[in-house]
Parts: sequence; structure tokens; C-alpha cells
Amino acid sequence: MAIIYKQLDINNIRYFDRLKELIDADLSEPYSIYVYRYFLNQWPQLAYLAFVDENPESLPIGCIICKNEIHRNSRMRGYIGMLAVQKEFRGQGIAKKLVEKAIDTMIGNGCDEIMLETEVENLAALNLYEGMGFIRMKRMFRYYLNEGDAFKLILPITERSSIRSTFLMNQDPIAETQDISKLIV
Amino acid sequence: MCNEIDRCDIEKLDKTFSGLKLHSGRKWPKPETLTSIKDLIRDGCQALNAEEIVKVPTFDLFEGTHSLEINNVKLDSYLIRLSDNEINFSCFIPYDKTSNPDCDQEDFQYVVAIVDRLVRFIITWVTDYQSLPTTVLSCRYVEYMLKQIADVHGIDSDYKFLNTNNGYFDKVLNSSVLGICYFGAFVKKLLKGGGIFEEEDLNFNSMGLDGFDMMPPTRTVLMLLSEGINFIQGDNSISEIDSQRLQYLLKLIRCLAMFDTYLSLYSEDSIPLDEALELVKNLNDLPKCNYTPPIGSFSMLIQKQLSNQFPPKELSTAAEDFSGFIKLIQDLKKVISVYQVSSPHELMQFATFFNKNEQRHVLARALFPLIVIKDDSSVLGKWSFAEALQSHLQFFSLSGTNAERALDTEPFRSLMDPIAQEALNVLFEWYQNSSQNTARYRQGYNRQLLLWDSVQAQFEGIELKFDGSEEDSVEGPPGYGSIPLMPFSSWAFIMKTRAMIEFTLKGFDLDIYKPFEAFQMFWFTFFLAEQLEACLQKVDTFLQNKLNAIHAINKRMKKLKAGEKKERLREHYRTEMAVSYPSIHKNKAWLRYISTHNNIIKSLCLFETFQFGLLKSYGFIDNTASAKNKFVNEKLIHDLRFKPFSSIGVPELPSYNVFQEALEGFVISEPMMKAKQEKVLSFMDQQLSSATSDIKSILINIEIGDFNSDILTGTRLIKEDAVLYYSTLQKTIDALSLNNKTSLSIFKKGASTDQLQVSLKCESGLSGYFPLMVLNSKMHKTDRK
Ligand SMILES: CC(C)(COP(=O)(O)OP(=O)(O)OC[C@H]1O[C@@H](n2cnc3c(N)ncnc32)[C@H](O)[C@@H]1OP(=O)(O)O)[C@@H](O)C(=O)NCCC(=O)NCCS
Repeated sequence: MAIIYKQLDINNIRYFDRLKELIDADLSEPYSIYVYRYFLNQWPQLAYLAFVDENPESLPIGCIICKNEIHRNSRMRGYIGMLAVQKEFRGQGIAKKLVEKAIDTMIGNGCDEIMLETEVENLAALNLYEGMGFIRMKRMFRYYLNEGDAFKLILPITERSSIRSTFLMNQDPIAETQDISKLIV
Repeated sequence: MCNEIDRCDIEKLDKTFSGLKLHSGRKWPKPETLTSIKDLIRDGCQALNAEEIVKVPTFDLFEGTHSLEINNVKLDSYLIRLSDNEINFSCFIPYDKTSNPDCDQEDFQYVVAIVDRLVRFIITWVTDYQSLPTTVLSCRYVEYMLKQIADVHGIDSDYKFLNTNNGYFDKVLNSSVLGICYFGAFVKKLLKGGGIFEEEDLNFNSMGLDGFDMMPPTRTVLMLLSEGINFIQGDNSISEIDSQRLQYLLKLIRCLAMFDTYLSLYSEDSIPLDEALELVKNLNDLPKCNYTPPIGSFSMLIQKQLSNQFPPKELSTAAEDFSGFIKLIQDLKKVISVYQVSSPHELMQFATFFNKNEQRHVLARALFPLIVIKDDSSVLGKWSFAEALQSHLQFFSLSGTNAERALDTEPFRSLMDPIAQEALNVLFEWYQNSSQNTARYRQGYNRQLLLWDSVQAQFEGIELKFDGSEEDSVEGPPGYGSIPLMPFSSWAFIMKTRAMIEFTLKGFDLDIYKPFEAFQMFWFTFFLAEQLEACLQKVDTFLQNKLNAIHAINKRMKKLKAGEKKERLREHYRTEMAVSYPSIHKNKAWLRYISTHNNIIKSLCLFETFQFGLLKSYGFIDNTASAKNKFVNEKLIHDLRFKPFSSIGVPELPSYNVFQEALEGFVISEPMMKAKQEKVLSFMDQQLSSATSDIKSILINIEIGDFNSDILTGTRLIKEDAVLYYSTLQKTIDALSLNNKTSLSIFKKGASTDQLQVSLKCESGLSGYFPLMVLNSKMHKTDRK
């Protein structure tokens, strides 16, 4: 089956509800509408959807939702906020493709690194991301409301990812001033 | 999204709003003092771009992901459905079948059931990480009590809030609930102390009830509980077992209420803990209580009616029995035993081991830093901060140096003071870190690396300029000349390198590294251990020179003829032997401990690097990311992993290429593969036997104690934990050896590298710092769940 991947159309409310449904299906506690709006309104170009066909009536069967922002005034950090593929369509490389598309766009946006958190028990997600070069940076104790520990994973894109932010800030005062203006959206 | 909300819901809301009334008793501000913000909001909203996301500059996405949503059943606690019994539940009437036709149990049976469940809920809350509102605060009596406590704050009160005219409710239940609230207030104080983290370590969502901050004096609570116990004892009409259960419960609550003295009075008395332990055993020995609390007395109502920033959550199931208290009590006992330490280095060892083998109970972890670094600017009430710092320094490297003497002179003192203050802060951070949860513990070291590095550099700057530093030195290896001791910066260096080692190895324990990273992490730790060893040796040589100098006095004395000069020298020799000699000897014994420990780490890391080398030699593993993807960049991945160390001055982080070259040195290949392998294996065996013999000496010295021993372990008060730690390392050594034999037999069979892969295995009962590199079948897609 040829899967079609599209960037999100923020004005299509049906997609919006469907995204919530896809993501919420695997969460013990759902995200509020604010969280979805937070990502999608600000970074619609970083949300990709997977469809089984071109039919405009079809609903997505997988999605990825991301953002990118200057982190600690020092480097551009891409962040994968949510990713899900409908159960029946798993194991066909759909998530991998979605992640690749999102990362490509984030690299295009000048990201120095891509970050995400995932549950320690989520082997599918860990395999997926580690298979793309992400490494575990730290473990977080009882990070999720359902009480599991989590890992923070990072994929380095540029050399800036391996320099502590304190030193990046000191070295690059220009970045600092630019960051401030970007932070106050 | 308003258009999405059901029309009928809006109508319902309108109706509810229009029915809202002001309570006459409340004091409202005068209208003329108020300003209307209606226009402001309207104008603001109109100016809003529909796509704009409103957030404060300090917005935190993690908190944002916990935001709530009106009209979403999973996120809006207003939508919680309650039964009539819950809504109409009253704390003002007694529940008793003789006086109330709706009841099917006797008054005392209801009270037993409520108190029994509440006490078990404490475990669910503080031990099983459940939230306060789904456990203790779900009890209507607790909520009522907290409101009453707040209402009478500042007013003389007898804290008898349940006035139902029934002794079981008014005396027994009233005092039990008050005691539990008092314990809750203690937990809140611990949390506020900053040693543990809200939510991840403990939930204290008090639903806006401020009664927790307005508790009566301890004696009032204890007195009411005693009255309650007397009341039960005076009632002969209830069965022996019910009477016993209730008395045990109230006595246990009385003990819990006394735990506050560990913080408020820095009590060192373990009697309430011992008594609590006994009571827990007694309660567990009784048959399970099968009475039920009054319907509606435990409810989600508080989540619906009070200030709730969390999604609705079903009530937790109370702990099955009282066993959960045992760990809490034992761990608190362990923590307060820290008062018996007699020197800062014993304290340091206490901190090293008390939370090391397994995570201690959250309340014990919270209490530890608060009693070590006391509000009165003392360490454990035994040493001033300055004394504690100096003593730490002396024990490692400062003793007997010119620098130590110069501390009493200017300008050395004034130059050193601000750095010493900074060093003290990092040292305290080290102490605080020792009681963190396992994940935070590693992060704490990540922070400390930079801090120690900065302290070391600052100390160094001053030490190098100080007159007299040239005498604080040792002869280096041939060609090196004399090496400055720099006792202050050496101490910071030792602390820093130890922190770097701990940070790196803890990553294995937390499952941070993939097998392909194992070589670089172990080789780097080995490299750090070597740097540390060199520094420790330098200090030891300095101390040895001091001892030799004392012996030399004796020799010089013997050569002198009897007379005044000889007598003066004899006197000098006597004082040196009486004062300096034992102190230097002690220092050396302590350094020997640190070195022996470091040797164990070094040997095991070296073993693991060889193990990796062997597996690579046979093609089962490599040090490159197994991922083959366009985003993978090996060097960037390596650099990111070593980011925490990238800015450290000394030891300088070896370059990526040095790591690559190092690995090549551990890989063997034809020709003469067999002979090379034999050599490697014998070297690996040597590492394990060296670690085994080091562990043995430490264990023997732990057993002997610090009096007159060659290796000063400082573990007198944390003996069990230290013994367990080193015995676990020994077991790990045995497992590493066995695992290596298994790998060898797999190599021998010529197993295919397509079938097998290496995984890092941390078996329970073994040290997570040195996982086994196990060869096991590759997982295939079809095996996936
Ligand atoms: C994680 C998830 C998005 C994967 O979607 P998917 O389309 O099935 O994944 P793909 O088919 O693209 O798999 C890509 C890689 O992920 C890994 N993977 C996926 N499913 C896996 C499983 N069940 N077990 C182990 N690894 C798995 C594999 O490495 C796979 O590569 P491979 O097939 O070449 O070996 C999907 O399982 C899901 O929606 N889970 C629930 C939501 C979730 O956990 N999201 C991630 C939160 S950060």
C-alpha cells in the first residue's frame, strides 16, 4: 500500500480532531486542546500526516507533531512532541518516514539537535529513534503521570549540540541577542 | 472551540452561574475600591490573532502538557459524577446502627474502618507514589479537619472538631484524623526543604487547603490521641480485637505525629520509630479488618469541589496491609543514626553508602540533607560549616602542609575565603545529591563537574602564587622535577574526578548507554581512574615524606651526643610522634581506602574494555551506532555523549580519534590470534583477581573498624550498606568471569555474527555499574509484540 504523507492543513478541523484521537489512543491521560494548539498553531509545517490514499475525505492513520525553538539562548533545538500510527498500520515503516520528514524540515530550519522524551518501557519508540542515531542523554524518574520513568533522547545535527549551553552563550553573544527576540513571541 | 461545547451544557452553566450567591459572612472589598477589567479583557481578546497562543514568557511545556480542559471528561474535574451519599455526606452526625436506621454497623466499627483505611492510605501516598487527593485527602473527615484547623488559626482552640455526641467519633476519630493531618504537615515541611521533588518523588496536592501550615502544637495532638486511647481502653463493650486494633492504630498515629521532632527539634531519639515498628508488626498480625467506612466518607468529591489543578483521578486502592511502613521507619532510623558520626569523613562515607545499594524511602531521603546541613549553619549540629570544610580538606590533602599553616596568615586567608565558600557550596551539593532519586543522582553529578572544575581552577590560581608552595611538593618521576602538591586544588580534583567516574558509570545502571557505547564509557572511566590514581599517589608520597622526616629526627638524634641539643630534638621527636605521626598515618590509611576503591573501579573498567575488544575481534560488536541512517554521524554522536566533559580543564577529554585508536589496541586478529587471545584472557583474569583482592581488603577493614587499621573505611555507621556494596561487586566479578567463559565457548563454536548480538545485562543482585556484555539471539521483526 502506497502511503501518502502531507503537511498539516491547520484549517481542516476534521484532521485536528483526528490527530487528537490518534495520539490520545495511546495515552493514559489525554493532552488538553491547549497542548495541541500550542504545537500546531505555532509550527504547522512541522506536523506531518500519513494517509492510505489521496481521497480528500480520508482521515490520517499516522501523525507526527513537532516544534523547533532556540534552547537556552544557545542552540536551535527541534523537539518531537507526539508521534502515533494507528494500530492496524504499524510495522510498515510509516513512523520512520514521518520522523524522517519532520527531521528533514527541522534541519532545514537550522536545528542543531532534535530532542524528545519517551517512556523507558516503550521499546518500539526507543528502537525507532535509536535506529536513526538518537542517543539517551538522561533518565527521568517517574516522568509520566502513569508513573513510568522516561529517557531524554537527542539526535545531534551540528557540532553545537555537543557544547554545553553555558559555553555557547559565552562564545556567541550575537546568538544570545537574537534568541531573546525570538523567545518573546 | 466554544462552538464545540454542547449548547445544553452552556445553558446548564448559565443556570448554575445565575444561582450563585454571595455568602453573607464573607468580607468582600468595597465596590469603589474595585476596577472593572471587562473592557481590558474584551479589547485584549479582540486584538488576539486567532492563531496566537497565549503564554507567559516563563511558559514551561512540561507543565503545559498537564493543562486541563473544560468539558473534557478526562480533564475536567467538574464533570466527576458523585452519588447522593457522597454529596450529602455529613461529618456532624455519628454513624451507628442503634441511632441511625441507614447504618448497618456499630459506631466503633465505622471508626475502626475509617482509621484503618486512612492509615493504610498513608502508605499508598508516601510509599506507593499515589497522589494526596486520591488517598488521605479523599477522606471527608480529613478535609473537614483541615478546614477547621485553618478557621481556628490564631484563636485558642481545643481542636475538638467532631461534635457528634458520640465518643468514638468525637474522641477517637477526631484525634486520629488530627494526628494524620499533623503527619501530613511534617511531610509537607520535608518537601519544602528542597531535598526531593514534588510530583516525581512525592505528590502534595493539598487542593488549596492551608490547614497543613497551621497545625496545633505537637503536645495538643499527642494529648488528644492519648485521650482517644484512654477512651477505647475504658470501653469494655467492644471486643478485645477491635479494641486492640484501634489502640494500635492510634498509637501508630501518635508515633507518626512525633516524627516531626526529627525535623523541628532535630531529635536523635529512635524510640518513636522503634515503637512504630512494633505497632506495625502487631497490626499485621491481626486478621484483616472487614468493617466498611460510612458510605461517602471516602470520595472524589474534594477533587470536584476544591481548587484542583489536576485531571480527575479515581481513588487509589489502599495498601493491603501495614508493611509499607516498615521501610519508611527503618530508613528513617538509618538516617537519624547519622548523628553518631564522629568525623566529617565518616559522614562522607555515610552519605556515600546510605542510598547507594537501593533507593531509600522518599521521606528518609528528604530528611537526610536537612539534618546534615542544619538551619543553624552547622553540619549535624557538630561542626561549623568552616570546620567541616577544613576537616574534609585535611583528610584528603591539606594535613601537614605549608598551605594549611598559611591559612592563619594574610593575604592567603582573604584570598582563599571566597573560594572556600564556593567549595563549601559544592560540597553541600554533593551531600544533597547523595540522597536524590537514582535518576536525579546522576544529573546532580553532571552539574557538579563544572562546579568542582571551577573551584579547582580558582584554588590553583591562588596556590601557585603563594609563597611557601614550593615546599608543598613531591619529587616527580625522573625528568619531571618536583611536582607541586597544591593541596586545595588537589582536593577539588579528587572530588571532581570521583564525580566524573560516578556520573559515567551510573549511566550503565540507568540503562543510558547502548552496547556500542560500552567501550568508550569504560575506557574513559579507566582513563579517569588513572588520573585520580596519579593524584592520590602524589598526596601519599607527600605524606610518606613527612613520616620519613619524623623518622629522620630519630636517626639524627641518635647520632648526637647527649646534651641540650639532643634533648630539644628528643622533645621535638616526641611531639611529632604523638601528634603528627598518628594524624599522617590516619590520612594515609584513608587515602589507601580511596585508592583501593579506585583500583577496583579501574580493574573492572579495564576488564570490560578487554571484553568489548574480544567481542569486536570476533565481529559481534563495534563502537559505531548500529543505526544505518542518513542522520547518523558517528563523531557527532560520540561528542554529544561526552558533552558533559567537553569543557573540563583537567583531565582533558581525549579526542574522538584517541578513542578510536585506543579501541584498536584492544582488538586482536590473525596471525597468532590464539596466542594473543590467551594473553588477553590472562590479563583479564588478572584484573578480576586484583579487584577481588582489593575488595577483600576493604571488607576485612570494614569488619575490623577504623581503629588502627591499614585502610580507613569510615564505614562504622553504615557498615551493612558498605558490606553489601562491596559484596555485590564481588558477585559481579564472579558473573563477569562466568559470562566471559560463555562468550569464549560461543566464539569457539564459530557462531554467526548474523544470529547473535551483544546486549548489556544488569542482573538483579549484581552491580548495575558493570553490566555483563551478553551474547544473545538477534530479535527479528516477527518476534515483536
Ligand atoms: C512507536 C510507533 C509510532 C511506531 O510506529 P510504526 O509505524 O509501527 O513504526 P515503523 O514501522 O516505522 O518502525 C520503525 C522502526 O521502529 C522500531 N519498531 C517499531 N515497532 C516496533 C516494535 N513493536 N518492537 C520493536 N521495535 C519496533 C523498529 O526499529 C522499526 O524499524 P525496523 O522495522 O526496520 O526494525 C507506534 O508503535 C505507535 O504509534 N505507538 C504508540 C504511540 C507511541 O508510543 N509514540 C511514540 C511516543 S514518543
